[in-house]
Amino acid sequence: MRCDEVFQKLSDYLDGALAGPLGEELVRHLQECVPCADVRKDLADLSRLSRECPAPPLPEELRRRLEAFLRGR
Amino acid sequence: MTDSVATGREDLARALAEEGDRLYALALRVTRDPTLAADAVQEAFVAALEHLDDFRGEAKLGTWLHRIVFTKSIDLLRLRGRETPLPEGEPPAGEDLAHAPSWARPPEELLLGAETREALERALAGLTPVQRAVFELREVEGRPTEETAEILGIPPATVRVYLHRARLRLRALLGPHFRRGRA
Repeated sequence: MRCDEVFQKLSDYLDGALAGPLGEELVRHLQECVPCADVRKDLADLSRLSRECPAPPLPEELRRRLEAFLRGR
Repeated sequence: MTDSVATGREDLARALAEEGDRLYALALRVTRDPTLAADAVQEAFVAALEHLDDFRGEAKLGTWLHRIVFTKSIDLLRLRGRETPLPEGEPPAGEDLAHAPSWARPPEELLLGAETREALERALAGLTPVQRAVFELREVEGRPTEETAEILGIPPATVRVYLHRARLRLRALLGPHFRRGRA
């Protein structure tokens, strides 16, 4: 598997959507190719960072307004 | 008030309690504007109550509400001309996402800092509204590809493509921030 093929399939691999021989081939490539392994690591860090930086919650004033609306007031 | 209307209101009130934060997060990611996001969520609940008869239970109520919030967010963005839509196709000419330099192992404190949160928000501006929606639903909330596709009204294969592009572009855009913090 070439680097450009690995690059295109990395997301599917990270999402567990790349099973079978193709997945095994990609894993072997990552074990031997430092630049591709670096991209994989960056994307894994990005996933973690994204989950740790969620958007702020629904503003309380809007929540109360919607609750009143749904109560029919 | 008829029984079915009362039940509909109760169901929506429960959805607001359970999904309100995530609905707002989707609107905020798409619009990148707290006022527009609040309007999108409010208009979505008004529309949902009006069209409860159209909701036949094939999808979960939360999924249906997410779809309405997404549609309202895109409509509001277009109406107010706040954002020139970026093409959903290939990356801009000259952008080589494959060879963006590595982050070089960001230290833990850098991952969690306020500065990093701001860097992520700035980088998200470099994605299209639909890519941001895919990123929020798949990457941040961890929703399945199929549900994300249902919310956004696009095929699952397109969700996977947009997520891949969003990740690569964010990696490239966040590169300078993380390399600055290199040990």
